[in-house]
Amino acid sequence: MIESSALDNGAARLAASPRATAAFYRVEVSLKRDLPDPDGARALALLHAAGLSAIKEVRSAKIYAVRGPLTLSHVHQAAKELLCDAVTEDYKILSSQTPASGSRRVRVEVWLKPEVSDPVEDSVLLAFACAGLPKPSSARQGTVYYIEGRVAQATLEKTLVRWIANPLIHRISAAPSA
Amino acid sequence: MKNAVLATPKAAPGAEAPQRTAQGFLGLSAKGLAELSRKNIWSLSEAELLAAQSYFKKEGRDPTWAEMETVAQYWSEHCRHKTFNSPIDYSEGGRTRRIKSLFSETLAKATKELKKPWCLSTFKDNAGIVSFGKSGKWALALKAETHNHPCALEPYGGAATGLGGVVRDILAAGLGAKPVLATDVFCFGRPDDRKPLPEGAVPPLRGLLSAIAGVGDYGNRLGIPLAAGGLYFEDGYRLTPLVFAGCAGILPRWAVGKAAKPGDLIVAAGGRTGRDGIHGATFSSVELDGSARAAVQIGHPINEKKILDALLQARDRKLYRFVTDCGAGGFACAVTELAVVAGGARVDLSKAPLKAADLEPWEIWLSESQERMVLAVPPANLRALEKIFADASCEIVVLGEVVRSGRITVEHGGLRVADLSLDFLENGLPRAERKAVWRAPAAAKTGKAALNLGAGRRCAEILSAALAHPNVCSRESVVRRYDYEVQAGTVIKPLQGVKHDGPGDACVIWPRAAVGETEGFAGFALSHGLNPAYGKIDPYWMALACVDEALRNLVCVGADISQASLLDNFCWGSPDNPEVLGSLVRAALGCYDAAMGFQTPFVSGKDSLFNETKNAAGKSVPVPGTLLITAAAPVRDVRKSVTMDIKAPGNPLYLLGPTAADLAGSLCAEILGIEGAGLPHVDPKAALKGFRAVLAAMDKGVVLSAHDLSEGGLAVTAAEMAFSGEFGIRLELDAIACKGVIYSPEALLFSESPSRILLEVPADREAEFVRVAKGAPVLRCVGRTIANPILKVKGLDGLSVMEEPIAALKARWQKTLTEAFA
Amino acid sequence: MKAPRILVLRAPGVNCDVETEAALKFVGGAPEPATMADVCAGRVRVLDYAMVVFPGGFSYGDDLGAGKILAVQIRSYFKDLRHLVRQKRPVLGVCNGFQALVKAGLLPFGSGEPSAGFAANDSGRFEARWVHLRLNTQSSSLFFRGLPEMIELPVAHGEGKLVLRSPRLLEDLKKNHSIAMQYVSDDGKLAGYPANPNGSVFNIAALSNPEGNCLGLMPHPERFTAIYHHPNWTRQTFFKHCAGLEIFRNAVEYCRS
Repeated sequence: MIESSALDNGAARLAASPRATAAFYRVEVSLKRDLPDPDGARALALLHAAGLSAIKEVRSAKIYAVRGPLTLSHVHQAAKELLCDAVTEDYKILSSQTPASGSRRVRVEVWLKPEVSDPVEDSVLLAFACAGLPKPSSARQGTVYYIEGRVAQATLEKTLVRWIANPLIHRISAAPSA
Repeated sequence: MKNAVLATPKAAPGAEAPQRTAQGFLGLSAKGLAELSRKNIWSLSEAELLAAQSYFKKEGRDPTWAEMETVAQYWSEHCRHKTFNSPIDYSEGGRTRRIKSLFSETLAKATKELKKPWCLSTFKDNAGIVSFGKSGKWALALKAETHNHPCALEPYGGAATGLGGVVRDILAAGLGAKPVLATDVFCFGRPDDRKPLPEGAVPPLRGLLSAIAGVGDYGNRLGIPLAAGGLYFEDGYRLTPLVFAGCAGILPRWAVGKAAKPGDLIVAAGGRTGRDGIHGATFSSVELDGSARAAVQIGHPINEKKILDALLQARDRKLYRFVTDCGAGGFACAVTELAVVAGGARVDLSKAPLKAADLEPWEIWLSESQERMVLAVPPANLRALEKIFADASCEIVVLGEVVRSGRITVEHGGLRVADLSLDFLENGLPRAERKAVWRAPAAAKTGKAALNLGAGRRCAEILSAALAHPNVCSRESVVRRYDYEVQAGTVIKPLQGVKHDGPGDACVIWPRAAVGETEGFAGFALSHGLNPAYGKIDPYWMALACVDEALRNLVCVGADISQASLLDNFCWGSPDNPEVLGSLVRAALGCYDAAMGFQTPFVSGKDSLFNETKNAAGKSVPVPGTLLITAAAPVRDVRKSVTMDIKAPGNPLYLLGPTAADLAGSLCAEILGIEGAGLPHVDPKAALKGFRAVLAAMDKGVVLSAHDLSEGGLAVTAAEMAFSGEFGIRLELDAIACKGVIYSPEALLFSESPSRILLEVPADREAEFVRVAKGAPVLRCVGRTIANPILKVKGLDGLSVMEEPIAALKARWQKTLTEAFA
Repeated sequence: MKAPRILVLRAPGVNCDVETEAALKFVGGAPEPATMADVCAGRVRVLDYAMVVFPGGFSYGDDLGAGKILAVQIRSYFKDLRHLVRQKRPVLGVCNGFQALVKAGLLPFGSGEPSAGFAANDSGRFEARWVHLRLNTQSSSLFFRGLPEMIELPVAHGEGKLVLRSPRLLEDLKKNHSIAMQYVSDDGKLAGYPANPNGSVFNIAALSNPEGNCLGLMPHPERFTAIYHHPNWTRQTFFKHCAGLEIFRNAVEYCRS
């Protein structure tokens, strides 16, 4: 149920789709560090309720996977004007990551499985069009959790499946992060 | 399986998609048929499979895949309520009798016999419809549904789409009602439960929080006030939670009827069709064992909101003649339903807008993608309809037309996907026969045995435990997650009192803005009754208690229960188990007697059976037999509504109804860890007289506050009224009117005798109150409100039984869920 | 006198439009609903109207953040709106409408660049509750005439925490009397949760442009247009002023004058 590679997630299907001419981007949008993160706090409370008391902090972020006839500058514009709130959030466009070894921070991505309709997709496509950008052919939204604290990867994965995500509809990937 | 019946691509000329046929179906043995049904989650019985086989023999061909799926969906328990409509041999107390149809002999029978002229449509449409308001211009549609199986697998998505489904039922009631109130009731394992669970089971706390979030995210986005509901915790739900969603809507009187005509276009509106949730209808008849995996969906509330906005505009311009929603079974059930009403239909599935291009025709036919409706539209109106939906950014497409063929004919391009006789679908379902047994519980539990309570625990301790009990404690941390005031009609809110945090008995909706009328003060109230603890002892008395509770909640806010309507939701385990079915039958019999006794008809209902899950040991565990009663009644003048918080010190407190030593199934018995004797027995006739007297007093304005007595009895009710109003209460136990002699203060304070309401009466109008309410068989002054913020109880011996500061009681009552959710 | 025409904008997911129109009618306005599609297609001309209202709800599901897509549409297709504001005609944004006006850069200043934003409530939950509000008596807002300094209104939102781009902006807002309403305790003091239901900076509940004709607020005035809307109307202990209705009345009467 859990795949350990940070690169393999619900978006993988998009990346591998036959329309390979279209470019594929992933954008991570997170709250500015000085703002409280209620979603992260909620996840932390659930992990504590599940007995993982060694976890110290959870920060959350949104992640978008967008495919379409887009250039990198299009995606920067979209990220800045559409996907994030310039006053409260920051964004980064993800490249392939090298997992940092020995890190105590785990990065978890939770995506709806490809066969589950993502209600946010229509809105993302519409927003691109409204901003005068080329319309993507597809878009998905997922959630990222940065989990800080000493906990065995296997235990964490098992708990995530039971308390945070649902393996029936979600694909989850966890990997150490810098 | 010898006669392998599997997909055989057999492309018809010109068709893009391959056709899947159940080849060799006609030649299968009963065993082979059963195997086929099991493998494909058709949930059809042997008799049903044989009936289908003989039908296709007459047709002289094997069925297509889509046809077998259509039969399975259309004949499913979910769509046809087979248990409620088939013969049952019911044994009770050594006597066996034959019930031909539980539905016609209980719920529908009461409605028929009561023959209320204000019932405009009962049990036949997507929702029950009753008249509303004085003008005769409006009607109220009511519906409550369950979504248990999806919620057990994916509580967030399941609860959200459950609400979405019941809202579409209201949109499809008559020609469509505007939803003005949504409700949710959850039965879950206790939130502090950390005991080990079987693989794949969702922990109760997580399940509950996800379900609350699902309902909130969906309902809040739709803009329908979620202002009524309930939470019930008990171990019996830890593996199989129950999730109910309800909705009420207002429609013009002229829009109550609907009928499609030949030549009408069949139009699909709303979301696109994808590979979502195939087999929802049949799946709900399968016990949850982890292997059954329906594709669980995440709802798209904005799509539903678009349909809502466009549909009601189109309704007011009378652009369509029939509407139904796509729920379980998708197009297969919705279009077939339309065909049955209209006498036949022909559709072309290649016209349906899809989420994924690679769907097979039978998948399009069966998909349960959310947020879709089906309309019958006179061709001349199509253009106007298209404009309205386009303005709301909502897709519509013509799928086919109504024809007088007596058949449902489904094509995909040039390919014949299904062609079935409607007579076969409607009338070909063989009736299963079942056995049901009910064994009366030991007399100690139901009898009025003497009590020996207390066991050294003071009343104050019991009260404190009762207030903190998950089934009594404050629901504020849930209620505030719902937008219970959108539409500006919630005049009696779920949270009441000085600090807006007391537990209201029912909400009152004043749909002034929703109906676009600036004059008039007509509204309606809605409430629930639920008590599975009584059902474990005797489901008959549970049913009466639930109806009584729902109605007295309505009385507490001042609703006119002479025109109350009831909705039933039965959630039981497998009816194949005679004892489970026996308990269900007994509850249904209770519903009949309650409806007749209270002169209150059922207008709509739904049953959800097979609520069982295998535990860690592999044993299938049914849920406690659970009956949810939803009641709604008009509030003639919302300005006369009453809330439950004490208004001023120095006022007399009157207790309606007699108190007996009713402690079986009570909260007090649970807290003390005793079995408890005396199950509450409702006397509807006496109760009704009392309720009417209270309403007469409210109409004269001589009731300042009213609160019903339920779990935890008089003590809990008095405590809640006191701390919500921020004044004290003094009770005198020797003033309580008792049935039989009761010496125990615990019994007097915590008895759960039914039909009781505690009322605050203005001191300066007490005589008037007594005069107006004289019709009440039992109504006694049992205490006074006081300025000192304490709850003070004087015992039978004149000594103090308890004296508790209300702030401390409130703190106990408020912390349980807040802490569980933190 | 002829009722002023008021544009009430509907976008998919807007859900407080009906009661907002009802409130405008009660005080003699002539609300006309229009969809975003009407505006984009040019079927509706903003400058034909005396006032524009953006009602509450979840426009486009708040999918990319509360009011975000609506804000993008306002910037792309609703160019005349800025003109309308400059002509001193009233513009009102309630809840989601407020969020959209801020994200479109129309509030607190009409610069077009957003200088404030919204984050999830500090509680992490959607919150529906009645709040006490203190109106800025220095504000030139046309919506507040005759209202007492302290009023009550309900809020219902999940993303209502107002965040400013910089601390200096707060000083600017104070100077310009742009902070139109603040969440306060029942005795009128700035206080934390639950008096401040979302954790907004400086307890800001509403913003006005310096000229006072464009108002955005998180609380819902359309939900307090009769005394029976107040949670304590059965206690008869509250001030019998329907603050919500008065806000609409002031706007409509301003349109008439």
